[in-house]
Amino acid sequence: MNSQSEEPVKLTKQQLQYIDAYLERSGITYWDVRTELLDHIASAVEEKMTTEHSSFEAALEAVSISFGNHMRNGYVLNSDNSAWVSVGVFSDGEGFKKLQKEKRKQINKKYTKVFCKQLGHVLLSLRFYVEFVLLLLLVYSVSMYNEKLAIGAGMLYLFMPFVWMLYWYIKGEIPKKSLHLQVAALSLILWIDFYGFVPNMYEMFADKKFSFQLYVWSFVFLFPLIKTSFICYNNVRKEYKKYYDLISN
Amino acid sequence: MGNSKLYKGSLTTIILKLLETHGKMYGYEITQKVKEITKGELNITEGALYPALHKLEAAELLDVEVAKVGNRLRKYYKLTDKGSVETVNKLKELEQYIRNMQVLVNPKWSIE
Repeated sequence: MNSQSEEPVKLTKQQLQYIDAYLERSGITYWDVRTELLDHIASAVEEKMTTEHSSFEAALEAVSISFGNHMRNGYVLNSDNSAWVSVGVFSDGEGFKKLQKEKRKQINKKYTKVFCKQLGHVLLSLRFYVEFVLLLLLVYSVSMYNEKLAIGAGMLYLFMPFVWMLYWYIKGEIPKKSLHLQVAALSLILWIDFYGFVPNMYEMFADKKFSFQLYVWSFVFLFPLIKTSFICYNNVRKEYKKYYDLISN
Repeated sequence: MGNSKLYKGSLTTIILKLLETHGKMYGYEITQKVKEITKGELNITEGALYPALHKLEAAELLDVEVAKVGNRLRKYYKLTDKGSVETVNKLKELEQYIRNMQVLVNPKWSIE
């Protein structure tokens, strides 16, 4: 008699899209965070619909509560703004947001470790030293004619990864709104900020106090760090592009 | 009983042990397996499971593998080599803890 009802429930594509939109409304704006939560929620909802014969909505509400969210009654103003009208129950998403915050912290820790390991590999690679010598040669040879132009050329060489990033972005090879990619990109952006931390660095470039040597030393210091951050970012980009393509297809 | 704070400190050991036994597992599967083994006595909440998994991943004890299952992506967790070594250590620590607790709670049970 129960063989029909015990058949495992499988959520439809529309129901999965509903959960995805539900997570987004609950503050989970990064697709890579939503992906993991979506699978868990969908599995739990399917289980509840199969074993407890719950409706999709009731099962989703129960699972949402198990994540530490609270259900609240939603109200909107009526058409003539004279009264509040109930629009049903919605999740405050606090539990989901807490998980996302915690995940960001852990990704940060993970990528810091990856960065340190990668820096070791970079400093042991021949390619790094070839590129490093090329940078110094470029700055030195241009400085024979104009020191400020040499610094400009050096900066361009140093921040070449951002040109690649722009190219990938235009080509659509950077999945948007990914927490992993955002954390990986942050370390790269941090190095641009380096010049902002040195007082009057930009003014020094423009006025008489311009110190060619100071800029050259900044290149020596930043080049391995920027290169390492870029390699780490690119590895994360490739990995998450692969996952993004998997869900998009 | 199922959600007792007593289990909190052992959560990572439970996860590591399950992964050692079953190879790769996804989040929901871990919660269900714990429920099944303890006959519903222990219930790992999602709010505790995922921070623990992410922490273990950041500590390089777990590795992840993503696969498409039906219409969705599934993230599987598995032990790294470092994770396998850590599992042995954590289990030893837990056994020692249980033994000490037995001695403290019921000294008559203590075995030399």
